[in-house]
Parts: sequence; structure tokens; C-alpha cells
Amino acid sequence: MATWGSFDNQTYLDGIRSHDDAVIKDIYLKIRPEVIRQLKRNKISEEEAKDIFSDALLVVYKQVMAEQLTLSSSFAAYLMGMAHNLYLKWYNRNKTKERVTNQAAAVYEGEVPPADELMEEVVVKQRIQKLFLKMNKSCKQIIQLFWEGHSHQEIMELMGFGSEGYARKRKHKCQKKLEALMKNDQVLKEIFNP
Amino acid sequence: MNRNIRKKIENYLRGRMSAEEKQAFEEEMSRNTELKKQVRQQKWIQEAIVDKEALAFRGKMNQWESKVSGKKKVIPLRRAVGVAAAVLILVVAGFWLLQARYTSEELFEAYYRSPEPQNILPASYYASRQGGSKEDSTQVTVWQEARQLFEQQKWAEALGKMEEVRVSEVAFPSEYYYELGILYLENEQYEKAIEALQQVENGQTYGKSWYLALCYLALGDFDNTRTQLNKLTDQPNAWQKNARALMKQLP
Repeated sequence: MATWGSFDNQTYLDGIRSHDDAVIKDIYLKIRPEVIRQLKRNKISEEEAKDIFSDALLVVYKQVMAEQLTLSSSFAAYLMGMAHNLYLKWYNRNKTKERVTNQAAAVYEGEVPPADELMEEVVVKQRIQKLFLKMNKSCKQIIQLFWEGHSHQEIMELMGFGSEGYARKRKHKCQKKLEALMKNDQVLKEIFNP
Repeated sequence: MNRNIRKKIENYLRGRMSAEEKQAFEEEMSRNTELKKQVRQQKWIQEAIVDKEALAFRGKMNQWESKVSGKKKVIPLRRAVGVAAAVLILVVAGFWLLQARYTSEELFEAYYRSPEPQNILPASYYASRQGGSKEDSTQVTVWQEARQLFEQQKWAEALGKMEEVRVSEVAFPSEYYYELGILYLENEQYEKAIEALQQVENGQTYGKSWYLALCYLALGDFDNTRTQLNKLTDQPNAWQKNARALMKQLP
């Protein structure tokens, strides 16, 4: 059983629920390096391993928020199991399962959370969120206002634009920019264009 | 995805369709797997972006990802040269690809500009129209109100006002349909824009072809886009240069 990390399970779950800095810091400094090291034993790149770790943490976050998580092992072991599962799912999607070596199969033998459709949805959304947060402030505001249901007229007023037409164009360009970023994400590209 | 489909998907996901429109759209989705996939993609974008709690957590993750990746790496010279060569190849390949392929949406974005009202019909137009029949004069007043909204770039309101004009009572319907078509285009209602522009019978020949070409382009109908552009490429006119350039970039 993996024992990395400084806190007990309940502290991790409460900390994730409240976005506690000390807990997130611990996850990144104590647990993440080990998860990435284990994932890289499967001959995947550092970047791929980092992305899979982020996917796993967000899936766990969603489970915590939905109160669907009951741990029978350590939090670190569960997170490792989730990353392992996502790795297998990701490789299935890439049709490169043959790259999963015998060595890789032995990487993790602890608790393995189920790989269901919800997981795919969470992974997609977390990757969209990561890209969205990289956009400039005004684009983020415009897209957020739009998808929250505001009209172009309201966006114009809230953003202080000179015309409704300009608000519409800015929204269109920002949305296109986000979709262009999504096209460069390997997992999103494969999910939307299998 | 062309702008028309995008708009329908957005209206559907934002609950801005009537019950009939929604039902028709869902029936279309059940028959069209590509549309269904596009709706799913936009739905995930919508849900990802409005989930502010998850976004805040993702933001914290981004901060920590930056912090733990903050160490500078020393790249050996040979590797640096390799990386530079790879970047150069990618830039050249990217440039070639950009030269070779554009989507209808990218071309539309590149060529469409919101029209300035004064560039559509001369300012003296309304003055010259006054003094006709009483009906015509009343309709021209409504038309003028639409033009004022147009000048303020209130496209949706301008279109609403233009639709109030009773065209049967207007002395010069071609001019009316021309402006109406452009307003539909500006409001991303391409099929209606085509219908209106096709009613233009006198004058505005080149403008009509240019805006029709853009409507077809927005709808992803490259054959009809070409047909309209062909009317502009041979004769000197305000759109000739753009028409020639666009023609070369069509797939």
C-alpha cells in the first residue's frame, strides 16, 4: 500500500472539498512525484504522465464533491490506482495497448477504482478547464457569461463594449480560440474525433 | 462547424429554442450522428465553464503545476540544435498547411466585415425617397429608424425594425431587400439573408454577389460561393480583389 503523503485520509478528503492549500501542496509535493515516476515506467513521456495525474486528481475531486468516495486504502494509493486506471483507459483509446509492458502491469496492484463513462466526462471537462484558464481574462469572462445564459446585449453592457455586434464577434473569436486549443490536446482530439 | 449550425447548437444548449424548434432539432440530432457529436462537445464546454467550483480547484492545480515545474532546465547544445531544427520544420510545415487548407468558418472570419451603413446606400437616399406616396413615406420612416439602429451597430434591433417595413408599400424594394439581406447576414441568419438578397433585382449587382457568396460560405456551400465569386472576378468592382483572393483559398 502506498504510504506517501503527510495526512490521514479524512484530512485529504476534507482538504480537497475545501480547496485547502496545505493539502493541495502536499498532494503536489509528496504524492504527485511518485505517481508520475510510476506512470513513466510504462514508457510514457513526463508530460503525458503529468496530464494523467491531473486527470486522476480531478476525477477524485469530483468523487469527493459528490460524496461518492469511500477509501479502503490510503488516499495516495487510491490516487495512484485512479491514475493507473486512466492510463490504461487512455492507452486503450490510443490503440497502443501493446506498449503496456509486463513491467507496467506490475506497477500497481492496490485498489483500482472503476473506469466508467463518468470518468471520461470528468477528464474531458478538466482538460477543457485547464485550457480555458490559460485564455486571457476578457475571453474567459465573455465565454463564461455566454454559457451562463447572458444575451449578447447583456455581455455588451457587462463588458462595456460599444455594440452588441462587437460582443457577438468577440465571443465567437474567443470560443474559436478555445476550440483551437482543444484540438491540440491529444485526449480531447481523440474523444471528439475517434 | 459552420456558423449556422453553431448558432443552433448554442440556442439549444442555452434553452433559447421554442418547443417546436427544440423538437425539430432533437429529431435532426437523432438522425445526424455528426451533429450529435458536435452538441456533446459544446455541452461539455458549457458544463466545464459554468462549473465555477471545479474551475477554482483546477486553478489551484494550475498554480501548483507551475510552481513544481518552475525549475529551469539546462538544454545541451546538440539537443538545442535538434529542437531548433524540429521547430523550423514545424513552422515550415505549418505554413504550408495554412496555405493549403481553410475551413469555411475560417474563410468567413477572414473576409467578412460588418458593413458601415454609409457604405451600403448613399446618405441622400432617404431624402430623395421622401415625397412619394403616403404609404411609401410611412414605410421609409420605419426604414430610417432601422438605419439609425444600424448606425448604432444594434444589429438585432435594426433587423427587427426592418422586418416591420411593409415591402409592398415601398417604392424601391431592391434597395430594401439589399439592406435586409445584409442585416440577416450580420445577425447570422444566412438562409434568410440569401432569400432577401435574391430579391434584389435592380442595382447593387456586385454587392449582392459578394454578400451572397459570404452567406453560402458561412453555410459551407462552396459551389454556390464560387458561382457568386465568378460574377465578381472579371469585372472591375469594389469586391474584385477580395473575390479573387477568396476564390484561390476555397477548398
